[in-house]
Amino acid sequence: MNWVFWGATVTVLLIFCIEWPKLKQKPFQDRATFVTILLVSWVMFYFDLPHTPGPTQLLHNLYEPLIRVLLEP
Amino acid sequence: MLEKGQISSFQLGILLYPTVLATGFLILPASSAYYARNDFWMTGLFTIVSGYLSIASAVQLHKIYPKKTIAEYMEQILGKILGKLVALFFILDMLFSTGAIARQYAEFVKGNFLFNTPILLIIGLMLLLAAFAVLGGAEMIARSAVILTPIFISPIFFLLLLIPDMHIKNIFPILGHGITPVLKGAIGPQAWVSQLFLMSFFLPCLKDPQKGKKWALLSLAAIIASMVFINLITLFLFGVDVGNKTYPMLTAFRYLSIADFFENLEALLLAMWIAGNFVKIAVFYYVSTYSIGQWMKLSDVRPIVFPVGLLILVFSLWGFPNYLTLGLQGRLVAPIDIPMYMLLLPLILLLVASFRKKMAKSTH
Repeated sequence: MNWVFWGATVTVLLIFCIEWPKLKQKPFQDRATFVTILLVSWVMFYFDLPHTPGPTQLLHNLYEPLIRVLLEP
Repeated sequence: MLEKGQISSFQLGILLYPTVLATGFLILPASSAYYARNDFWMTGLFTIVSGYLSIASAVQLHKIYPKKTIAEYMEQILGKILGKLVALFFILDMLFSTGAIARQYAEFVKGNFLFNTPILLIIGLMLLLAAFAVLGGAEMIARSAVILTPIFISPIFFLLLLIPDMHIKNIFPILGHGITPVLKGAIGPQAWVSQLFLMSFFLPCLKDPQKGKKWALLSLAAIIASMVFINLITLFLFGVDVGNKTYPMLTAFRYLSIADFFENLEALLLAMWIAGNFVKIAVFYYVSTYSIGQWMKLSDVRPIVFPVGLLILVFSLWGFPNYLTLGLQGRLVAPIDIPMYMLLLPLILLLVASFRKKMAKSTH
């Protein structure tokens, strides 16, 4: 049982139920963005986020030459 | 235009102060003392260049493209495809920065005060509060900043009560190791100050746009003065040991004891810093939400405010297993990542935009 994921599921459903009635009359662009952002964050919560390598590790590797020149002795 | 509210440039100036210093007070003294040793009080002075450049580029870009923000004029400057792509990177970086800031705040609260509270709850509640501020738009954030910034500034003056414990001799020898360590230590503060570029998102809703630059510069002056002041006080108090402390200002507050009656003032510090961090998180949240709205050309951003908050929550957890990784992010990644998007990108945009303007003039 991953309680963070279930909590996220409840939150996603709650946001969807609150916002969707207002979004019905809005253009397709609005609805698509709304659903995409919700879906992406919901799927992300499925992972064990703290122990998944993320942007910090990516950026650290990306900037490594600069970091070595500027900051590390 | 998505934003309908209007703020004054005075409110903008007030808003920018905690936007830079809320997390700046938390980590900058220790990270600059790590490199510059007992000369780290000077590092604040070296931020003037990057601070001025980011303010000037935001104002100049707004002059060329009035009533537009970076996500909108990026397409006009760089062309449709490249502009969209760079704007996407900007949005992703903003989301990541917001997540990292929220996490920084939560780690500070959890590590020092609420030991047994789940970190998800601390981040989630702050983001929920910020979400309501973002729903209210720029006007709401600016008004809350006017109320909360004085509360955020006041702990600085409490530190003056420590004067009897200060040792002026800690400052010597001045520049004993040359200027290089000081410049290394200044990399962190100059990155934080370049966040002043975020004013570009508030320039279109200013009532008196001609005064925007003046108030932003005043805010920069206040930021530099506070940085130097805080650094000097922690240096006088702890000497070169500042580099080994996680939150030097908090340690200084723990030290405060007046007549054996006023003690444990760090709880007061926490209450005041929550106010500052709220403004900072709300500003970053606002910028991420509105840049997504402008990027996708939405008719209204209010429906996506809560989903974006959830995404920020993802970024605040993703890849941060413990405080150590977060410290690594603050000391090694952020000093290069922030100026990349807040200083270098605007300068390149400004260069291309003025070049385009000249080309258009010469062909006519």
